[in-house]
Amino acid sequence: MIYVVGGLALAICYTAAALGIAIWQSDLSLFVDITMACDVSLSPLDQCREAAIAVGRETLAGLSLAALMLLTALFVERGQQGVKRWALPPNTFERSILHRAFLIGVAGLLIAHIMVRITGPLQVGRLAMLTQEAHFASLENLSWPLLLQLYVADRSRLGRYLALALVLAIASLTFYRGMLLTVLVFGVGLYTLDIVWRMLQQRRHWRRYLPILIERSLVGLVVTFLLLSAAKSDSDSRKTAIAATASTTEQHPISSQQLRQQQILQRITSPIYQASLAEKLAASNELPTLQDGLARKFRLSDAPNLNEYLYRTLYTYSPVGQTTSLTYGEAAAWSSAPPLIWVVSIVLLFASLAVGGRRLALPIGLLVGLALWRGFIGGTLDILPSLALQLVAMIMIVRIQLSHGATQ
Amino acid sequence: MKRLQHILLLLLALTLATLAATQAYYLYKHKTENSGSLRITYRLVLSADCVMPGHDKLIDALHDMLSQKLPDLRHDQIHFSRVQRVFTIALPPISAGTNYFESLGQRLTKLITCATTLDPDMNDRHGFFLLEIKQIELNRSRPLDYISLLSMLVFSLYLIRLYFSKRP
Repeated sequence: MIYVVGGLALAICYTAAALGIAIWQSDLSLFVDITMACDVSLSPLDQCREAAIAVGRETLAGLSLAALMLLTALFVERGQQGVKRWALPPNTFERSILHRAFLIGVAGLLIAHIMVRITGPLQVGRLAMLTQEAHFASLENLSWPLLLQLYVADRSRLGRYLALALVLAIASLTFYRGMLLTVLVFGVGLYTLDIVWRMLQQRRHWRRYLPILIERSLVGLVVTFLLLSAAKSDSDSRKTAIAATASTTEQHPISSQQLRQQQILQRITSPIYQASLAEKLAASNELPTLQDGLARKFRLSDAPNLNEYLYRTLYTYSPVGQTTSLTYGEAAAWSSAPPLIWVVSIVLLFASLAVGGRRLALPIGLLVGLALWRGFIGGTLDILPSLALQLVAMIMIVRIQLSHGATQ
Repeated sequence: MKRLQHILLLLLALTLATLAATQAYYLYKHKTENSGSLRITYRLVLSADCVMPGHDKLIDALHDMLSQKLPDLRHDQIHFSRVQRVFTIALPPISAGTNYFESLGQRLTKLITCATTLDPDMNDRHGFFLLEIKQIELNRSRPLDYISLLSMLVFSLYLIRLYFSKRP
């Protein structure tokens, strides 16, 4: 459950930060992306800011209410034993054919991806590369949470480190810097916290956990170093682009450092403005439906999903990309009730899944916590199909392995 | 302390049940009320030295223009957006023909302020030009509402079960 609580805490902190910036930054004239979002509804900037603050408040209230419910339930429930029917037994990797087949499949996918990148036509720029390698990026996005879940749950050392190596290989190829930070938070931060929590719960046997803690902490440090280096190199390349923008910005002669600072503030706070934009457009335009989103997810249609539609509305000159309109945005577009209700209920849906998984000792906590966080940012209904596939894969790894073990 | 926990648990279960009931009410309201909306789309042509009226001015002007046809029209029932050269207005249903909305476009055009006086020939190519009038059906199936209702019911049952199983 620590991963679900961690994902929820992350969502609360993020919303609080976005809301804080929206309240504190009263002058929006330098935030180009936000100004563009406000311009769509012809709202004056102060009215637009007030609407975004209302979005932030409602989201924060919904998340906090759901967190209170979840924490109270966990506190009252503590000590209750579940049925450990579906736990991953030791040496899973050695015994499960499916587990090995999955790791080999991902390794094959990565080799194919690298070959395409090396031998394919040279693409200049991140968006052009993303368009060319979209199928690989989608499959890797589907795989890495499962690999990370296997890394934190598998007791077989070989299986665990193979899964981690594949996660790092995907991280080196990814187009999304957010993935690096998510792996750090869930695969290193919350994982270490989980071990410390277990040590605190079983104080008598804490010595048993000490070698595990030391080993995982050392691996965590190495992974942190690798991922932070990758994130820094990506940031440096973006800084160069921002510096070039600063030198050509005549209207606001500010230093590149100030511009960089504003870019970060804008990046953090823009999701609540984009959610507010979704709410305004839902009242006057026909937005893509939930079915459009699902068809797009499975590549059955070229029609944009909600976040792609919002992106194309804002940046008509750049057709590839998605906004991050939060769970609030999808509720404003598709629900008849106030968005707060969807924010509460979707967190509780994830919590119910995690509680059910914990009762059966099925290792899905990280998958669910990660889906909560990613869904909160980009819309939950975009995440649910991949979460369903990941859960089915995890159940198959556990079940097929058990029946395989029983025949031996 | 345990008693306090249980009272809190009960309160939270009741809050969740209230949220589920609210969700069910909105779902029922959307099912029963045949709520539709009229969407009018204009092609917006502006020269570089012209500016659109602000949000509030546009709302007031539209309210004044439409109040003859819809006397009960409220300001919060008028929605509009501008995406590039397409200007969209969403209103409660009005029984009016194309001519009415064309003349509405012409009246909106007069609200545009330009730095220089436009030459009379330009007037034909400047302003709001009617593209489409469409009835939007808001009463559609809403899977999100059903998922939400189901999720809240499952969690409130879990809370109620906890309340009874761990009673002090």
